[in-house]
Amino acid sequence: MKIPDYRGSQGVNINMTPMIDVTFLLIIFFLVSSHLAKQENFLKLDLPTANAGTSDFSDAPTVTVQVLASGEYQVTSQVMTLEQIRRAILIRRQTEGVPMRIRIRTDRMAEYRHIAALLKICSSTGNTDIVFAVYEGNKS
Amino acid sequence: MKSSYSKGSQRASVDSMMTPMIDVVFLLLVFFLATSSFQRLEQALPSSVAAAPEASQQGNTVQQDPPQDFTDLSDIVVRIQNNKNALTPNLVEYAINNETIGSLDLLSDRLARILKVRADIPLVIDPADDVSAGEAIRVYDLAKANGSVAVFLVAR
Repeated sequence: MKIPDYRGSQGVNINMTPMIDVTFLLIIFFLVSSHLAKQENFLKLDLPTANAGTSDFSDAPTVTVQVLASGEYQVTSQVMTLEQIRRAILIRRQTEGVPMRIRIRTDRMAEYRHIAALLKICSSTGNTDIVFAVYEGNKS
Repeated sequence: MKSSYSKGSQRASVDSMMTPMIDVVFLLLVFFLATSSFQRLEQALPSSVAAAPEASQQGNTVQQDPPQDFTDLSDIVVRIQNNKNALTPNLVEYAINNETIGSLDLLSDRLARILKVRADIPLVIDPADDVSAGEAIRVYDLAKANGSVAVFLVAR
């Protein structure tokens, strides 16, 4: 029987292709799953359009309140009443120690009374940094 | 050194080269499909709030709009209402300081003329309860687009 001799100058020839395949696959898997995790708590809403909107690069602590067309409020995909939102904002404010940015994602068909009530809560808790999530309008 | 690609006929060499290439190409295809988001990009529209006087008295608020400005004639109140007696009930009508304005174009025109005189005049947007949020944001955006630096949405 011939015993293979690996002591030569050649060494073991490792095939790199499957390894690269698997590595890429893992990279894509983690990229996609993190992307989904980020979008998970955002509802599909028909946001208002505006031309004056800007890209939101602020890294201030943000509370996103979503207002459905029916007037229901959601914070982190939990349905909340106005009072619960007020408490959530106050608690978050205490832990962060700085005024927060309130981001309102509202359906364009939601009635303004729901927005007005939400704005009142924002100002009564001392948060004046309020932004609306909008789609970029078509400049016509 | 003998590689596995160098032996055999020319045809076998091309065949064995194709498989990893297709692998990688498919992988790139999947990668770009997955990372290109099909959602519309969301932007942020910064807004300021005008609270009614009674709200500011109980509140510990730092308001950008002083309560006395709310009733002062030096600011402009844009009211938005659903047009109830029109044939198309979805139309809304606007009013600047109680003067009714029929269409968005006229409103835009009027705001542009006012803001050309004084861009820092406080503009309070007061939509009725049953007006859609989209309409309120549209007027807010219109005021910003016309160069207003102090637009406020009413909080109730």
